[in-house]
Amino acid sequence: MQWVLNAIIRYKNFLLFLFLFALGLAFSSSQSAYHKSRLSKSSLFISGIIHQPFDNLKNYMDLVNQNALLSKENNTLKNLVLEKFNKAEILALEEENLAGPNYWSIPAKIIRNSFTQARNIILIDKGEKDGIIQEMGVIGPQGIVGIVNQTSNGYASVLSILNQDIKINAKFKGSNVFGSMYWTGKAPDEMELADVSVINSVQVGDTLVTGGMSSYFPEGIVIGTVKTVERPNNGGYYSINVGLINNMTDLNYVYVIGNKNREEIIELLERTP
Amino acid sequence: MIQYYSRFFTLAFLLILFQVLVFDNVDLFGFSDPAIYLVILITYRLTLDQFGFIFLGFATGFLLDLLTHTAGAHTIACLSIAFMRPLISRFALGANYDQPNAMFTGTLWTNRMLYLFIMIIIHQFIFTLVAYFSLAHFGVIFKQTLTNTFISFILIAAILNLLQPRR
Repeated sequence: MQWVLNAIIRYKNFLLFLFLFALGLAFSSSQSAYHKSRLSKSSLFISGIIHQPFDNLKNYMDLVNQNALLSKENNTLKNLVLEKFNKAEILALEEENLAGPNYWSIPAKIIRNSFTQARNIILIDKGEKDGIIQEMGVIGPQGIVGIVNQTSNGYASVLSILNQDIKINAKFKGSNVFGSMYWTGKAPDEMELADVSVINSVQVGDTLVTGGMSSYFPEGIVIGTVKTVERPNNGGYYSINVGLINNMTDLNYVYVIGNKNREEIIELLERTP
Repeated sequence: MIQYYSRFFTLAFLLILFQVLVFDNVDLFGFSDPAIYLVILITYRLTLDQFGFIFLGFATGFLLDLLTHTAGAHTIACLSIAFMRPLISRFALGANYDQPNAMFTGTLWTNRMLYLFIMIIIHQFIFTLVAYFSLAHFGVIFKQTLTNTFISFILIAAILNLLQPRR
């Protein structure tokens, strides 16, 4: 028994290291959904409080740029409405609207944005008290941004589309050719599109929009345009590089998208064997 | 000793605050985040208890993981260099590696820079490896490790110069 104790005392540093390393790995993999959720909520609460004052100051310094951006966005929307109004198609516009009757949006402010990691997370200043729940889609002024991951009372964390764990259902604008978009971690302005069969025609410059096959995003929100297309020598799928339209490194305001039919869709999917 | 610990933990608190609020938002060259908080693990007195230092490495990394939403990468990287530090200091700091303040006095300037470089590059490599968790991204891991090491090295050397006790 004595030698066991002696060995423990002698190798205490190494044993402590092993124990804490295992703890770190367990934290990293976070197998337990309950613990993962509790830990994420606590860290969300703390980092929300820490980042908020710093972000307020940053916003104040950036007001001129933000005003210019908002003014530009307003102008685009106004032109769109005027154009439709002149054609007496305003009612049709409402039906076509991305945030139409099945969807609603909640504006939110980004208080922390990361785009340099392999799995990037965005923090927003809206939480459960504002009606934000897990797995709501998040879009920016120009395109999709991510999916709500965790929520606390006043804040929410969003899995950015620049996160290697996310796959986005996408399709080519004006056709029904679907694929899966994912981030490779190379640059914050490009993603890869997989699962597009070579029997379809794909050109550089083609626009990609959300496919609407998940409950996260409505169909038709712009994601990006095709930058390069490679047809493989063997295998039936293209290798497509997509340039994102949204500048993920310069985001300030986003809209969290709610889907009225989300629970019904999820329940139906769960019942389907 | 109490005075040393109070100064050390104040410095640690400020460095973590700066890291989270400023340097994590720097994004030099589009993807580089300098890790100035490593000053905590580099300057902690070499003669103090290694058992406590391993705890300190773990706590520093864990705190940063919670604040920056990185799933364990900081924890594992900080813990690993905390554990390896005696080996690194013996290798890099030369004959006087057992000086309490070897990072500031009693050792050669070149030895200190070597110690600093090894600590940073090992930390950055482990951090990026755990963050990506896939050898398929080895090219990106390699690039990020080198860039982050280079920038962190310059910033940490500058901070250490500021912290250097004046005669």
